[in-house]
Amino acid sequence: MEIDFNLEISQYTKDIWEQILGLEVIPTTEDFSPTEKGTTLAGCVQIMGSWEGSVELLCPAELAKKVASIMFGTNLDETSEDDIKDALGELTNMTGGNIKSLVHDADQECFLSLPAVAVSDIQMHVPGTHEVAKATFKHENHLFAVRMLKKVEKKK
Amino acid sequence: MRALVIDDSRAIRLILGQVMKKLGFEVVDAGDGQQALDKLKSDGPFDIALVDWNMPVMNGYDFVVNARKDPQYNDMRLMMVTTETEMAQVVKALEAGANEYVMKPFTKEMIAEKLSLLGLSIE
Amino acid sequence: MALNPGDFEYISKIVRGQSAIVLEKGKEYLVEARLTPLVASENLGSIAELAQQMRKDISGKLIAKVVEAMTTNETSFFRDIHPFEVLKNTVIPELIQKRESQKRLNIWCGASSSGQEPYTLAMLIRENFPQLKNWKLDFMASDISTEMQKRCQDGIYSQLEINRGLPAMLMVKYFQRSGAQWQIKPELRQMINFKILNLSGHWPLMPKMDLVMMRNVLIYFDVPTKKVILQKIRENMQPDGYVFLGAAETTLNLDVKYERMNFKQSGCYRIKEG
Ligand SMILES: C[S@@+](CC[C@H](N)C(=O)[O-])C[C@H]1O[C@@H](n2cnc3c(N)ncnc32)[C@H](O)[C@@H]1O
Repeated sequence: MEIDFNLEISQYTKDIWEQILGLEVIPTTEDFSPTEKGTTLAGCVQIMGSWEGSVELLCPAELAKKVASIMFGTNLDETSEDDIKDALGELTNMTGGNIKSLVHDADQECFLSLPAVAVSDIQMHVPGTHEVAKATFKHENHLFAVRMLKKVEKKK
Repeated sequence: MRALVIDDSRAIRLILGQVMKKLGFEVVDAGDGQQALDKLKSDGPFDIALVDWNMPVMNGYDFVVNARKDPQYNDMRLMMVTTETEMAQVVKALEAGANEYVMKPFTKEMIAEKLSLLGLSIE
Repeated sequence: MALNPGDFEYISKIVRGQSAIVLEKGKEYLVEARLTPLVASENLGSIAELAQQMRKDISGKLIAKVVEAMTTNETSFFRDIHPFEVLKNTVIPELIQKRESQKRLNIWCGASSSGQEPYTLAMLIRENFPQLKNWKLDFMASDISTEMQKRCQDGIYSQLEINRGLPAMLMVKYFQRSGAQWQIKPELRQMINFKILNLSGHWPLMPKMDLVMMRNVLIYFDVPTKKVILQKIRENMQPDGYVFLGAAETTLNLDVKYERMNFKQSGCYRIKEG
């Protein structure tokens, strides 16, 4: 069966944001061009084993802050950088874990790395990978995206 | 009743901890499997541990294996709460001695329903 | 999306006529929330337009969709847990004993929604009463909704649904992964006969039931409808059979011929003797 990754990512992302944060997010065809205003944060988890690649959650800093303040139950202005990294990391972990279950091969093991969160330059191209899917979402006036990157197999 | 919440994300420890408190549990938390084993000794006994899978130092699976080696923890229920959602992982955790399994993302109802399956609902 | 009083009245009248589901004043928000997606998928501009189309709907197809959209399908595996404990520990063992000579058991879930309730019962039977494999088990599950009947037949559940109330041991045993979702294994799907049946309409001829699950559906109906349905259940039941109602439902003040069983929070009833 051919899996429509964009569709699955949309569903997972909607579920995660709704169940964990109580936020409604809507898949959109708008393009996510975060360079326009403010910083973008990227949460990233690696998938290793029968499928190799990574899953990224690209999120404007302002939205990441909101997410953290919801998860920690704090006011926006008392939300720390650590809170933001933790919250975004966990969302990335959930997204990545769900995606892993779609790509892995049932007979082989496949692992998920711990999440890493960093400031992202969106045009960033991870060498040795190609983008398998990218889904963009809208929450209120914020756009964010989930990218799935597969490692390119080296030619022998 | 007492619960040990084990997750490397502080946010999840907080959220799960709040859910458990609302359901009537006294909550202690730990950030990885090793810390959790230490808390079993220092803060136990617990009626249940909620266990994430992927964590630094010692992962949740190894925690389950280790906790189940010690007969003194036989009565403690172990419930995985993790983003690992493959059938093979669920089987592996159950075989190691986990009693229940919740796939992230979770809601309060899911946790409450699973607790009542384990006979731990407070009524 | 706005809903004017005339359309609300019209839609509630139609829904009630078709399914007995009562939408009192004050439920406008519910009608709006449930019908807005339908308005979009039917390429209509508003609920008012939908109501207009319904008035011209000779085939009844659109009206059926509206009724479906207005049903509440909330359910979960092992919902409320206690009834299933009673089934496992008391009711099914007793029925097995009583029907030992005929080796025949008739079961009906009358509001199956997406199937969690009948499949819970099917798993419970497979797990605890393997001897029933050699019995003639007539297991019917029905709902008014075509979409729900199809979902039951497919037996495919999302992660969110599988996370609710289903013991991990049973998930591993009776489900298989299907992409991002989980599907009940064919063995269990084949145990149950899924039908479309409107409880407020004409009931087909059925075998006399030993066990009826009628949970969380009577709450949507008015008193006269509840009375009629409770009576019809009795008429379609073995005199020593059992009925399970939802946690918020009762036969009290509706039908004196039932007695409530003294099992903890299970909503279990049987017909009074004599
Ligand atoms: C809340 S669900 C109950 C599901 C399950 N019995 C449970 O307790 O979890 C109610 C179901 O009743 C169905 N329903 C509503 N009106 C009905 C009618 N007139 N005839 C048959 N089913 C009806 C709905 O389609 C819906 O799936």
